[in-house]
Amino acid sequence: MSPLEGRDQDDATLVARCLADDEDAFRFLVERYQSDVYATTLRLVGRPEDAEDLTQDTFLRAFRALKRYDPARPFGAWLHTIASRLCIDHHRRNRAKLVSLTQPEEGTSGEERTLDLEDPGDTPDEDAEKSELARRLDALVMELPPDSRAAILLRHQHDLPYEEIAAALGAPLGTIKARIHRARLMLKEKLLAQGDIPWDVHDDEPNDEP
Amino acid sequence: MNEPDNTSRKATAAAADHLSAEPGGLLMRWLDGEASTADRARVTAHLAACPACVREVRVYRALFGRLRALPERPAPAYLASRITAAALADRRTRRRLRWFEVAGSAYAASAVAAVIALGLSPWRDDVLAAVRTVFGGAVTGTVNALVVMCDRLMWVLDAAVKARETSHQLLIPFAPLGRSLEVLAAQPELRVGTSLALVLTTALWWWFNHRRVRGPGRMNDVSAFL
Repeated sequence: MSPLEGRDQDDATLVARCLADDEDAFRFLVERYQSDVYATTLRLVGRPEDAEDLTQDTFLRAFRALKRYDPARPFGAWLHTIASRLCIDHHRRNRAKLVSLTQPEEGTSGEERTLDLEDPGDTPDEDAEKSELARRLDALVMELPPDSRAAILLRHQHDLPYEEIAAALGAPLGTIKARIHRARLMLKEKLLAQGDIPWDVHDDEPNDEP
Repeated sequence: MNEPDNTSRKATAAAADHLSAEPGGLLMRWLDGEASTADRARVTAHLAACPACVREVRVYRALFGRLRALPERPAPAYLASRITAAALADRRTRRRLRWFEVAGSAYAASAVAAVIALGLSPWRDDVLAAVRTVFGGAVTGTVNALVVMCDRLMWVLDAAVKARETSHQLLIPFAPLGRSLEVLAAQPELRVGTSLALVLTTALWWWFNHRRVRGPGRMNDVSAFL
C-alpha cells in the first residue's frame, strides 16, 4: 500500500481503518484535525506548551475510546468535546495547585491571556479590517472564564447542542445554558462598547431569518 | 451610535417589554431555535413592532457568525508527527497489556477448570492423598526448621553469656565510674536530679532535630496533603 493512499478518505472510513489497526489512518486523522484541536486547546489554556500536550492527550484518549465513537456524529466535534474536557480539567488542577502553593494572585491568568493574542498571519489588503475585528473578538473570548469559554466555543464553533456540551464538560444542563447565555451577553455588550458591531448592523451573517 | 434612535423608542413603547427582558431567556431560546411554536409567534409579532429588538437580534447573529470565524492558531510543524508517534506507542503498550490480561484470565480459568475436573474425576481420592502427603511433608519440614532455629538461638545466647564474662574483665578499668554511679543511686536527690537532666537533654535534642524549618522549600510537602 502506498504511504499516501487514503489520505482524502472521509472520517468514517479512516476511523474504521483505525479500528482495523491501520497505522496510516491514525496519521491521516491526526494530520487532518491537529491544527483545529490545537487552536481550541490554545484558546482554552493559553500557553502553547500546555496546548501541545493537551492536543496530544486529546488524540490519545480519542484513539483509546474509538470503539465508543458514533460514526454518525462529526469526528471533529467529538474530538473537540474531549479536548474541552481535558482543558477544563487542566484548569482545575492548576487552580488547585495555585491555591495550595502560592497566594492566588488575580493577575496569574492575565499573563496567560495576553500571551498569544498577537497573530503573525496578517493580510495587508481589505481583509485586514476583518481580521482585526476577529482578533479583538478573540481577545474578548480570552477574557471569559475558562468554563464559559469552552462552552461557548463548542456551541458556536462546532454547533453542538446544549445537552452534548453539558455531557462533554460534565456540568448540569442549566449551568451550561446560563454560562453560554451570560457569555453571549457579555461579548455582545463589549463588542458594542468597542464599536466593533455598529447598532445598525445589516447582514454580517447571511442567514438572518427571524 | 449605540443608542436606539427616536423612532425606535416610539415603537418600543408600543411593543411593551423588550425580548431580552422576557423571563426564562426567551430571546436566547429563540436564537437557539429552541422556542416553542407559541413563543415563536410571539417573538415574530414583537419583532415586527420593535426595531430595537430586531437590531439586538442582528447583533447577536453577527456575534455568532464572528465566533465561528475566529482566527486560526497555527500548530507547530512537529506536532502532527509527535502525536502520531505517541498514539502508536500508546496503542502498542495497551495491546501488550491486553495480552497480559488475556494470558492472566486464561491461566485463572484453566486453574479453576483443573480443580473442578479433579473434583469430578475418579482419581480424586488418590490425588487428595498425594496432596495430603505433600502438605504433611511441608508441615514436618517447617517444624524441623523451627527446632533448628531455636537451637541456633540457644547458641547465640550462649555466646552472649560468654561475651558478658569477657566484658567483665574489660570493664575493670571503669570500676570507679561504677562506684560513682552506686553513690549516685544511693542518694535520692542525686538520683532525681540526674534523671531530670537526662530527660531534659533528650527533649532538647529531639526538639532541635524536629523543629519546623520555614521557607519556600517546604511548601511542596504541604501541597501533597491538600
